[in-house]
Amino acid sequence: MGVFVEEVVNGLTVGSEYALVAAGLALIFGVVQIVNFAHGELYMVGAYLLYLVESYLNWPYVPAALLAVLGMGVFGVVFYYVVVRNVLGKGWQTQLVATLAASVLLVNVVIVWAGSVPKVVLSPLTSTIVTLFVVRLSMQRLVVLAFALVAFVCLYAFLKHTKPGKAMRAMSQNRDAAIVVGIPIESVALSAVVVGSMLAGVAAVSIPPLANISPTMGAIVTLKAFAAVVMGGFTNVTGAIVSAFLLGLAEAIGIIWVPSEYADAIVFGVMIAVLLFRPHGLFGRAARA
Amino acid sequence: MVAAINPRSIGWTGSLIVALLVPVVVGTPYYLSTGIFALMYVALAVAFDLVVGRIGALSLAQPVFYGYGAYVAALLGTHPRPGPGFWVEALAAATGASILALAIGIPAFRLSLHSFAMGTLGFALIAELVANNWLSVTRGPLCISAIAPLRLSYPGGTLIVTTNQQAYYVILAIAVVAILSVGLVSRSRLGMAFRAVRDDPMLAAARGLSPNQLRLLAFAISAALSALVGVFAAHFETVVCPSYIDLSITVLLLIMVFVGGRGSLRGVVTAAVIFTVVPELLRIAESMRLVIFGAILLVTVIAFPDGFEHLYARMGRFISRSRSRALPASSEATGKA
Amino acid sequence: MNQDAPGAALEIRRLSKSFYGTTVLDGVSFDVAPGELVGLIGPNGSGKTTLIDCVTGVLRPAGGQVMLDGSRITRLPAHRLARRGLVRTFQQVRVFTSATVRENVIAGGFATVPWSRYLFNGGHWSETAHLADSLLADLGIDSVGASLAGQVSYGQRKLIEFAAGMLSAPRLIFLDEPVAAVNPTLALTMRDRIRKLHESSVTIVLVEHNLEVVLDLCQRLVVLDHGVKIADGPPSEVMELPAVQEAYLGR
Repeated sequence: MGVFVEEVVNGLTVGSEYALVAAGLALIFGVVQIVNFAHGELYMVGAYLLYLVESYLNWPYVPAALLAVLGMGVFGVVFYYVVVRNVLGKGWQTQLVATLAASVLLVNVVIVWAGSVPKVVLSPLTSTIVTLFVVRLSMQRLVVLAFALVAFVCLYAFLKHTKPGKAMRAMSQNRDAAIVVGIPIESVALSAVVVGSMLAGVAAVSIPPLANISPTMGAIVTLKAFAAVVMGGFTNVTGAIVSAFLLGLAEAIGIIWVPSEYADAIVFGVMIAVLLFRPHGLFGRAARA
Repeated sequence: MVAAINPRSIGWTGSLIVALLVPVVVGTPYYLSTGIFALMYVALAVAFDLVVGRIGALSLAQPVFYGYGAYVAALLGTHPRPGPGFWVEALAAATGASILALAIGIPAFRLSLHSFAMGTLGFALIAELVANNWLSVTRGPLCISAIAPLRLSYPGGTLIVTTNQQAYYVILAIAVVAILSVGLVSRSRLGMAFRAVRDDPMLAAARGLSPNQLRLLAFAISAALSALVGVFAAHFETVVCPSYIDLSITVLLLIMVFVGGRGSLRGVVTAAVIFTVVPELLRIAESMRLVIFGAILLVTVIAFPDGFEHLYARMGRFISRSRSRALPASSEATGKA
Repeated sequence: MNQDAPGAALEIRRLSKSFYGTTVLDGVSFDVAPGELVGLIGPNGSGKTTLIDCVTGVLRPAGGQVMLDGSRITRLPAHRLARRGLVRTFQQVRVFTSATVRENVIAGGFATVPWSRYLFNGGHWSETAHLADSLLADLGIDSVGASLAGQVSYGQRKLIEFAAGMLSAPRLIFLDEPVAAVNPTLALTMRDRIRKLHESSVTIVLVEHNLEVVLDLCQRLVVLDHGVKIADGPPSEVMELPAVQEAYLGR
C-alpha cells in the first residue's frame, strides 16, 4: 500500500512536470501550428537558469526560482524572434526541422559551456520531510504540485479573462476567422511562445531539486509532453494537461512491473496504443496536426 | 535512355573518377578512413532523401535501420567467427530492415505529418534503449567487438577485406548502388508516383495511387539501403555499439538532405561529402560540431530552402546559356537529377 | 484503355455524414444510370462536395451504401475506386505543383496501369504518353506542356485536371464545378468537352452553380438543400418546384 501511494505521488509529481511542458506545447501548436521540438530544451534552459542564479548570484531558492521563471519569459521572446517568427507560414518540414535544429543547438551550446556532467540544484525543501498517509515524502514534491496548480490557475485566468488569452483561444480554434477579425497574429504568437516558455520555466524550477540537471534532460520530456498533447487532441490545452497527469501516473505505477530502464517506453507505449484506436486523441475532435 | 555528353553526366563521371582515384592519391590511413566515412554518409544520405525529399515524409528513425544492419552483421560475424560472408549478411540485413520499416511504418503513417516525425523519433529512442539494455544480445554499452573482417565471395574466390584501400572500394560500390537505385527509381514512373504523393496525397489517391503503400515502399527501400551500410560499418569498425542508433546521426543526415537540397541527388551527395570531410579535416570537437551543425541547419532551413540544388540549377542554366550562345543550334534539357 | 466500355451505374442509398455534430448529409439516395448526365445542384453548403467526397473514398460516410455497377464500394479508399474508373475533379482545382503540365496529365494514367509496370517507362506508358500529348493539343495547352503546373493559369489548371481525369479511363466521373471562375471561352470549351464525354457513354455527375450550363447539358437534376435531397427529375419540372425556388432564392 505504501509503495502504491508513493508511486501515485511520484506520478502526480512527474505528471505536473509533463503537464506544464505539454500545456505550453499545446498552446504554441494551437496558436502558430508549429510543433516545437525544442520545447523540452526550454525546460532544460530554465533549469540551468535556476542553477546559475543559485550558484553565481547566490540567491536562495524561492527568489531564484522566480527570477528563473521571469528569465524564461525573456528567453521566450528571443526564441520567438530567432526561430519561430522566421518560419511562420513556411512549410511544415521547414518548421519541424527548424525547431529540431534549435533543440540540437541549445543542447550542445549548454554542453560546450557547462559540460555534460549533471549539476545539482538545491532547494531547502528537499530535506524537509512530510508524512502523507503512510508515506514519508520530501516537501519538494508538494512544492511541485503547488507550483503547477498555481501556474494552471494563472493560465486559465489568462486564457479566459485577458485579451491576449482570448485571442490565443480564438486563433487556435479558427485561424482564418481570427485574421479576418483583426487579431494581431504576430503579437499573439509572441505571447504564446512567452507563456509556453514560462510554463516550462515553472516546471524547470520545481523538479530539478529532486534530481540532477543535465543538458540532455529536455529531450525525453519533449517526447512525453508531445505524447500528452497528442492524446489530449493537439490544440486542446486542458486535454494535454489531463493526459499528461494520466501519463505520469501510468509511468510511475507501471514501474512496479516494468524494469526501470524501460520506464520511458511506458509513456510511448500508451501513446501508440491511444493513437491506434483514436487517431485524434482522447479529447480531440478531428483536430488537424 | 539518353547517353548524352552533357554537363550533368560529365559531373557524375568526373566525380566517380575522382572517387576511384582517392586511395591511390591519398596516402595517410587517417585521410583514407575519412573518405570511407564520407562514402558511408553519401549512401545513408541518399537513402534518407528517398524518404524525406522524394516521398515527403520526415522520418527521424533512419539510424534504427543502419544500427539494425550493423547488429545483424555483428551477430552473424561473431557467432561463430568469421561469419557467413557479405552476401548472406546483406540479404539478412536488407530483408530484416524492410520488415522493420513496415512494422514501424504501418502504424506511423496512419498519423499526421508532425506525429509521424515524433513517432519515428520515439521509435529511434526505443531502439537505442533496447540496444543499451538487451544485454544478452547486444551486450549493451559494452558493445559487440572483435568482428571479423568482411568476406566478399565472388566467382573464383573470396576477398577478405583487411586494408583500408579494399574497404574503400567496397563502400564506394555500396554508395554507387545507393545512388543508382535512388536515381533510377526517381526517373521511373515510380519516382513520379512518389513525387505525386509528396505534392498532394489526396490528388494522388484520386489518380489511383495509394499514398500509404507508396510511402511504405520508399521507407522500406531506404531502410534496406541503410542496413547495407550498417553491415559494412560493422566489419570496418570491428565494433558495434548502441551509439550507432544515436540522434546525432539523424541530425547529420538532416543537414545533408536540407543543405544539399531535398530531392536532389547531386546536392545531397555534395552535402554528404562536405559535412563529413570538412569537420574531420578541421578537427572540430564533437559537441562543437553539433553546435555548428545545429546553427547551419537552422539558417539553411530558414534562408536557403533549396540548398545546394539551387546553386547547381543556376550553374546548369548558366552553362546552357553559354552553350547556346556558342553553338547556334543546341537543345539543352535541364531538370533535377 | 476502355473508353469504349459503357459508363458505370451508381446507386447511392441513404448516405449520411456529420462534422462536429452538424449533419451535412442526411440520408441522401439517388441512382445514376449508365451513360446518364445528371446535374447535382443546390445552394452553397448543401452537401454536394461532401457527397462526392463520401462516394469517392475521401471521407467515410457515417451511414448508407454506395454501389458501383452493383458492387458495394462504400468506404473503399479513393485510390482503389480510381482504378475502377471512378474519377473526380476537385472544386478547388488540384494539380501536382512540382511536375510539368504534361507530367500531370500523364499521371492520370496511374489509375490504368498495374503496379508492376511502375518501374518501366515503356510499354503501356508510351500509349499513355501519346494519349496525353493528343489531349494536350486538343485542349490547346500543349504549348505550356513543359511548364510547371503550379505556375500556369487557373483556367489552364482546370484543363489539366480534366485531361488527367480522361487519362484515368473513367467510367463514371464527378465534375465538381468545372466552369466556376473561368473565362467564357474556356467555359464553352469545357461544355463542349463534357458533351463529347457524354456522347462517349461515360456516366457523368455534374456539380455546378452555373444554372445555364446545367440546364443546357443535363437531362436530369438532383437538388440538395442542407444535406437533404429535395428534388429529382427533369430540369423543367425540378426548377418549378417551390422547395427548389425557395432554396435558391431564399438565400
